[in-house]
Amino acid sequence: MRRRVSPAGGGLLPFKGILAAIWAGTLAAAAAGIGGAAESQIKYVDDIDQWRAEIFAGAANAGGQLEGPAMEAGFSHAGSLCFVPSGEAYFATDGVIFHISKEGTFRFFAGIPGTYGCADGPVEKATLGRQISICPDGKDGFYIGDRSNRCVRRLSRKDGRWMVETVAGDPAKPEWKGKPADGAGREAVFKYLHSNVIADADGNAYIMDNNFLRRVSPGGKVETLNPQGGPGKPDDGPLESAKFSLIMGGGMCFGPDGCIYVADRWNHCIRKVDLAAKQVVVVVGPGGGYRDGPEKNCGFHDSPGHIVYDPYRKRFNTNGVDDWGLRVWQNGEMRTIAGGNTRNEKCMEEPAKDSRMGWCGVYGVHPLPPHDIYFWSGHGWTNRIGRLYRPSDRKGGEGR
Amino acid sequence: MNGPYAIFMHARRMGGFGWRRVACPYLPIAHGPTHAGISISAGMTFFLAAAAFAPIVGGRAAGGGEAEFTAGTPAVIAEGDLLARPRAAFGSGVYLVAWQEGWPGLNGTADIVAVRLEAGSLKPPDAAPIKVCGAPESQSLPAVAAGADAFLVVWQDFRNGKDYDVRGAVVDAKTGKIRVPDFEIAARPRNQARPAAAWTGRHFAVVWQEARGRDAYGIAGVRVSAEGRVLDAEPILYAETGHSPTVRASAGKLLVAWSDGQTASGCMADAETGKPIKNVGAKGKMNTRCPNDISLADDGQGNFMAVSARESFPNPWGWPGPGAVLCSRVNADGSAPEENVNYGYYLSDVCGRRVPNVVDTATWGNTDRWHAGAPGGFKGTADGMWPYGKPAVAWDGKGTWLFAWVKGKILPDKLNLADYEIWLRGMDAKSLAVTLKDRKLAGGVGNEAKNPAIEAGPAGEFLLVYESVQAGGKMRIEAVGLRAK
Repeated sequence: MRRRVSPAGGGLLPFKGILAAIWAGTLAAAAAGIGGAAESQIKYVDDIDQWRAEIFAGAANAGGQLEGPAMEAGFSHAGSLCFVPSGEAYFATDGVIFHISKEGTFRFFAGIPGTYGCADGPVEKATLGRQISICPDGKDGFYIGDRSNRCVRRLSRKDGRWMVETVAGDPAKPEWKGKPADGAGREAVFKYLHSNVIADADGNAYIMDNNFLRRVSPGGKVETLNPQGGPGKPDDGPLESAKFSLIMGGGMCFGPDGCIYVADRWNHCIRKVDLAAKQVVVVVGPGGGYRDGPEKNCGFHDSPGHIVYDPYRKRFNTNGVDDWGLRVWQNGEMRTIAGGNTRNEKCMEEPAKDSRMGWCGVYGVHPLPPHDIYFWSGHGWTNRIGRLYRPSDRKGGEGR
Repeated sequence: MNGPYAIFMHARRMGGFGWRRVACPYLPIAHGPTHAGISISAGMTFFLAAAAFAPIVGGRAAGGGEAEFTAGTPAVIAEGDLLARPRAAFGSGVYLVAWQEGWPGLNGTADIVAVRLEAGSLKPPDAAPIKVCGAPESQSLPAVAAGADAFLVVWQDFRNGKDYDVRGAVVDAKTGKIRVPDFEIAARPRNQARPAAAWTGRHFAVVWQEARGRDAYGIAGVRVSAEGRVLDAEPILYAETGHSPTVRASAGKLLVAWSDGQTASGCMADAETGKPIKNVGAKGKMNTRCPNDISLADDGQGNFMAVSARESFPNPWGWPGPGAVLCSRVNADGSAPEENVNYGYYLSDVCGRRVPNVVDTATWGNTDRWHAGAPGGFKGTADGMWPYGKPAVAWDGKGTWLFAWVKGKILPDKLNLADYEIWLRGMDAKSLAVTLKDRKLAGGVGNEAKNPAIEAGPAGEFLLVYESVQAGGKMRIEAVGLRAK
């Protein structure tokens, strides 16, 4: 089995306007014969009473970007977060990338606060788009999925200094129409980069672009893996012609088997992309409504948006974009690990079961024990990062 | 990660940041960008027209007569890689413009730099800019106030590598020398950030946002003497929750204003003691729904004007509502006429300009309502532009508030903005009727302009300063002189 670099990739929160997809989603659900308003069926993880939620970072009212201690840091959108093995984290949001020390101090790491753009260069001069995602690139650097600039960028150390470079795509070119345009570097054209970029051990980046899975080699060559695909139903079959329905969804991660798992939002399912066999199959769902249970008979209220693999507990964390709970998918079952009840009032500060979730998502799992699970939750809390933990795991753990 | 920063700093030491000594004459406003401060081009005259809108909330209709404004060509004060957030104050015959130079991030460094400009000519009397603070790590987001033949420059300071403190320095207005080198104003544990300052007639009032409780910011402040001495042993608390404060003094009172959720809030304080007296309005609100980046001006009679922004971005479905800039009056008695203005569904009454305190707004195409979520989605604004970012305001001494604000071009993805421009408008003090029609002052393609500050000088003179990003990535601090005829 090949080692994958970013099993716990961070998800870029679709902006608040994702609300707009509600009505479109309802129509899509109806068209798919899925009961979007099905009654909630919650089945918690067995140790649900041990899980707690807490705020990790983000002041309630910082009023924009601020460095400083985690609880006083300022950011406006949930953005995208990834970890490196040392336990440090990198948080991409609103045109900047924050470095988060193991002690939890937020510092600007790349990009100019308050200035958006697509200028390459040293991190202190480079400018980034407003909507960006980040993941380790397998080469001690990072890929940045720059939705605002329709390009994939790399953050890497060269001659001792951190630099930002555009690997593929060109913001000066209009988005593609009809089918994606592949090619090397700036020849390639992107349209709408979904939730998050991920990378394999060889340094290839993968990202969902509209309804197409694009692979970007370390040298910047862009290849569409489903060139005969596009928008459509989630039929199992060859990758080359696989169709997705990802409007403002499309979170993805590598699983332990080396396959890519995609939150196929408006098909209401999770798809597995087997890169070796070049096949795509539905592995969870399709199903509507907030329903836990067997993987083929579970559902999401407003359909799967993000997915992260937890290599330490050997399970996936996932969520619907407008769901009111965070879920765990393991051993053929979907279960709730946080929230799930729309009557919950407090967010990120309760037993996980009682924490209010909404417009939430998972970022990733901390690489150091006790492997806290990092997430965001909406309802006015998109300027905060939360985490799930079990107090009993924290005894002696350093990754917190 | 020292490497890139070491090289960067070396570049700076080797003169990577340019400095130009340029004039900023009161020439008629130029058509299109003028990159060189000394360029001369034919221009136009602004006319203070009769009222364009009837008053809706109090006041009288503006009417009769015309006044004129002239605007100079944009002049480059400084050029470099990373110049940001210029702020200005006027006193003792000179303006002081202070800005942030450098990158305030991990292993980076940012300093506070300033320059004096003579009233009238707007020429810099000094051969080089004033390094107000060049301490390690970052000093950022400066603010300036003028009083007692001096300027107090304050900023947020990350020199300890852990959290922000508020520090300041006093610059002699007549010599341009540092009278009091940088000193602590608020340096308690945790963050104290985003300071603002005003001169009360006897001392400076400095306010900031500080971390309070577990995870929220509130508003606090102290008085600082012209000699740089902090006069309050403990900070004065103005609000338990709030951020991005600003302060202005007029007729023996202070107005401290801040953002609080969806509200632009404020309180009146005694200028002598700095102590809060009462909330503005009945509920402490200047307006709702437009809370960001508040700027203040006063008419010298105790009446204040606040201008603030709705920092929403465009969206394919229009859900965040329109970007907008609203103004809000705070009268000498503390009343706030715009406190309870209802802006309708998704601020439809803002984009339809059915309320008087709209400085600028995005529109939904050519309609006068905001159709958030409508099938087909957001098709763009009538002019393709979207107000966004910090606005500014000044008093012309003759009954007009001058507003400067930023708007950007909506890109085809309907998600992002570019080519930011700075616009100017005048509104009648009583009626809020438009007295100076909207005029673009700076910015555009290849020469983005944003983050304006506008400061009233002597005899109808104003200085507008802003940051500019050139097509090649160079950043500039630019200034435009304005004068009421």
